[in-house]
Amino acid sequence: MKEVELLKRKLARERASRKEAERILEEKALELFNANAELMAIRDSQELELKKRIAEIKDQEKTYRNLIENASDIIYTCDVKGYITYVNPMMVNLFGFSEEELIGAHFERFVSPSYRNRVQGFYAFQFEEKLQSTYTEFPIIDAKGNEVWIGQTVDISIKEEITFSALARDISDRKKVEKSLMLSEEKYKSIIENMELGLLEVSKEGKIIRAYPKFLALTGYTNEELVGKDPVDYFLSEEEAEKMQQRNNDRLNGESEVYEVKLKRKDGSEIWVLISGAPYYNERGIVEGSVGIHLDISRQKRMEDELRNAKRIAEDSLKSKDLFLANISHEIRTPLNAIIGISELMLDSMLSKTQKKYLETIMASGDNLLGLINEILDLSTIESGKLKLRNEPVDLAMLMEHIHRSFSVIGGKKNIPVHLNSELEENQFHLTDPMRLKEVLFNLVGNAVKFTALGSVTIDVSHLGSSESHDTYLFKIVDTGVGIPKEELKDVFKMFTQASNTFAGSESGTGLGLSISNGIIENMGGDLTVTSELGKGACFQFSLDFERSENGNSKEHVSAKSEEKRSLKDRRILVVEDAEINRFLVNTILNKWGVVVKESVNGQEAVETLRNDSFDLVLMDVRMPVMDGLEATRIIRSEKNDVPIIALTANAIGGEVDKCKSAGMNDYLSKPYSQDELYAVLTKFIGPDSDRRNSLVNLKGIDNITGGDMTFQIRMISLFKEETMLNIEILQDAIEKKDEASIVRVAHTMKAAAAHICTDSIVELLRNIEMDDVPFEKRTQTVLDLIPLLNDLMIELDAKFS
Amino acid sequence: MKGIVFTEFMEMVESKFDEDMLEGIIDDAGVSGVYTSIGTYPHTDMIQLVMALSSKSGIEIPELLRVFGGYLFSSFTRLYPHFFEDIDNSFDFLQQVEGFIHVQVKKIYPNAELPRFETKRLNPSELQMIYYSDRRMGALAVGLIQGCMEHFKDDGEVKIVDSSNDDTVVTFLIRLAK
Repeated sequence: MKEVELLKRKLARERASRKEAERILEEKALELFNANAELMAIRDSQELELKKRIAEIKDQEKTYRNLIENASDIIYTCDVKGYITYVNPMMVNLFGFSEEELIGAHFERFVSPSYRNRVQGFYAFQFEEKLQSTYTEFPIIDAKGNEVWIGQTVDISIKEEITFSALARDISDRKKVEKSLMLSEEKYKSIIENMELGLLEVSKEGKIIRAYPKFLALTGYTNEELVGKDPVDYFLSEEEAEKMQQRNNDRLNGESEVYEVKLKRKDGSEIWVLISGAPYYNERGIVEGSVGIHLDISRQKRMEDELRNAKRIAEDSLKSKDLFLANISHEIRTPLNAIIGISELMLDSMLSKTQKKYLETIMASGDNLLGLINEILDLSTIESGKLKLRNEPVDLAMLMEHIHRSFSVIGGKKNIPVHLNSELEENQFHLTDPMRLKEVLFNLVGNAVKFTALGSVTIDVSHLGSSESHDTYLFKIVDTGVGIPKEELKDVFKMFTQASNTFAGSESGTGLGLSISNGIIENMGGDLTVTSELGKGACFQFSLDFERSENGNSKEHVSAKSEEKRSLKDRRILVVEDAEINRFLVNTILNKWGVVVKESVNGQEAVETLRNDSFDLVLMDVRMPVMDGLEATRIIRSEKNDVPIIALTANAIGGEVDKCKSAGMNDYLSKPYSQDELYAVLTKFIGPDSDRRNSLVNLKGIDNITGGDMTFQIRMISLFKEETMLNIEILQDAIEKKDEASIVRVAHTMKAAAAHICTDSIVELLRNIEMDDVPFEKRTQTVLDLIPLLNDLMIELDAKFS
Repeated sequence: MKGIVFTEFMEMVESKFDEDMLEGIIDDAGVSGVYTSIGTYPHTDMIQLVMALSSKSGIEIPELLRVFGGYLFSSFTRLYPHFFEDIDNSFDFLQQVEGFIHVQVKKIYPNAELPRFETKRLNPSELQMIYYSDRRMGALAVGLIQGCMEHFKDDGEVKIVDSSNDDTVVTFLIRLAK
């Protein structure tokens, strides 16, 4: 391209560029102008706004100033150094200085001198820490020199310069109240202190705030040693501390209480104090801590301990008396049991007349002795308040009839008629303890007959009245005997007193009868009284309230007749008794009745025997060496054996019967017992009326091999039943066919399973069947005995494992 | 694209080649060739111009852009000396391109469409710089960076270590010689 052409083109481009640039600049200038105009408009409106705001602020300031000037609180400001720069009229009023005097003065000048340091420190702290706002209270001294308390809020304002603005209020009145409150509090505390009560203030956190002089004297510490400490560490043993903790918590929940605590003194000695603890509250009603008032009760505690000891010794000696009586009665009853029992047995044997008479005397003496022991025991029971009365429906008319009949016979022998005038109606039942009531009547009527030589005895029962559910009867026993001398009347119910032995003749008694009767009637809610004149006979009387009973369930004792006793034939009884003579005695009686008897000499042996054999009943002595009857019974029951167990106890004194029952025994026989008593208790459980059967199932054995697994037990039993049913058929078949080999084989096979499932009775039979050298007839007979047992077994298994 | 890029480009063509070459590529590119530094013009014009220069001179486009970048940077130092006050090394300068220079440019030219840079100093002698722009002129950026190092007399190299498929994101590694 030519030079000229190039330049032309370049020039044209440059020109175009210039125009382009000018256009752009033109545009930019316009933009700038517009922007500027906008800015000016904004500035104008802002200026207007500013003026408006300033006017508003001035207005507000005026309002605030008015407020400040007229405020009921003191308002003033200080500069950074504490010089007052502004005060409101209220401050002038309260301080009593003029505005001129106040402004420019240092605020500390007005603070009460004794508070100046504290106040100065307080505000120095606010300043250093730049705390926005603080509140404190202190007194100032006004122009007249009076102290005025103010509560003051100070705000720091940090703008161009730091200023303090203070808002304060006269709190003198409140301070006065607080001070008087404090004074009265102190007054009460000093009163309490003067009353020998030690005060201890403890914070919510359990630290001692203040211990008062009496408390210090009580514990031997000084206040300085205790403040800030935990009283638990200083005064309490571990166990006491635990008790105390609970109480402190209660107290913080606002509960106050009184309790006794053992404290350690500084010197290590211990004192007992009665503490009355109460929470105390701050002005907002929130628990701040607690105050404990401590009263030294060491002396009372010592006396209490001594008294308790004395009481324990007294009770122990009473207990040992009871124990002595129980032991004595046991020791006497055991040989008596043998004496009476064997006499009774001997009377059944062939004897000469003289021998029989001697024996009867032995028996009568034994009976007397037994009567005496029973009476002593009765009395002891009554005296110790342990007499327990039964409450069963009784036909009182029948009972009186029975007494009348008994004594008519006795009186008849002496030619003393015994009359009965009764308002009792037959077939009406009342609740009472018939045995005890009979005991009283036997005693009173017995005495009357005994001490009457000429004349008669009258039993009088009159109906005194009725309520909705009760009838009241008066019982009177009147005789025409020797009577009781006036001076002895008051003593007749005392122990071992008997009136005028001279007239008693051959009849004698223990002298306990009236005491016992008196005790029983008292226990029944009556009052036994006597009126008498020497030579004119005596009258004993008592009245009793009886509750009526709808259904009379007569439990009259049925005397056993000898032929009935056969109902016990083949029953199996285990006799557990350590004394050989007693075992012999009971064995002989039971053998006579056809009972199969096994013997164990202690509880341990009995438990083992019962594990392997089954019985219809167990007669269990209570006191035995190795293992006593109670323990043995508990073990037997724990092994799921519910065989009836009858306790044989020579220790009839209160409590033992209950112990027997709670151990799991069914009933008890008090030694010595008569054959009739023994028979009665046996028939109650295994007599003809008894539906109890001898169990054929060995529950324990089954438990053993199945480990208690019920499902397994049921499967195993059903298998056993199937096989046994089959085996019964085979046995019957074998007997018909006289197939001895099959019989032996089946018995042998059955024996293994039976040993686990059945009781020994069946296993024993099976063993007998498979024994060598047994005649065929004997084997057959045993099989015939066995088959009904097996059928019974099937039924029992069905009942127990279905 | 800012007018200054065009005016500087044309100046470079005039000085490195000759006026004939300038007129030739203006004709070939089919652009007006009328640019002022305060205006803003379509970037396609620049692409056309560069392509024209490449085909006329036989130099490849990236190389052209790179050389132009160096030239452009030295123009910047001349035209905008205040951006270089108080800075004595290339890394410091590069690290403030995005946060300071581009911010200032945006104040004056609110409509300007500028590339975006992310920088990360890996160690005292290595700087990673990531370029984001739809204009895809990573090569121009390389030239600018080299121009920058030259200006501060920092001896070293610039490498493209990564780039997206469409070249809109390019990662440079600038390493100073020991």
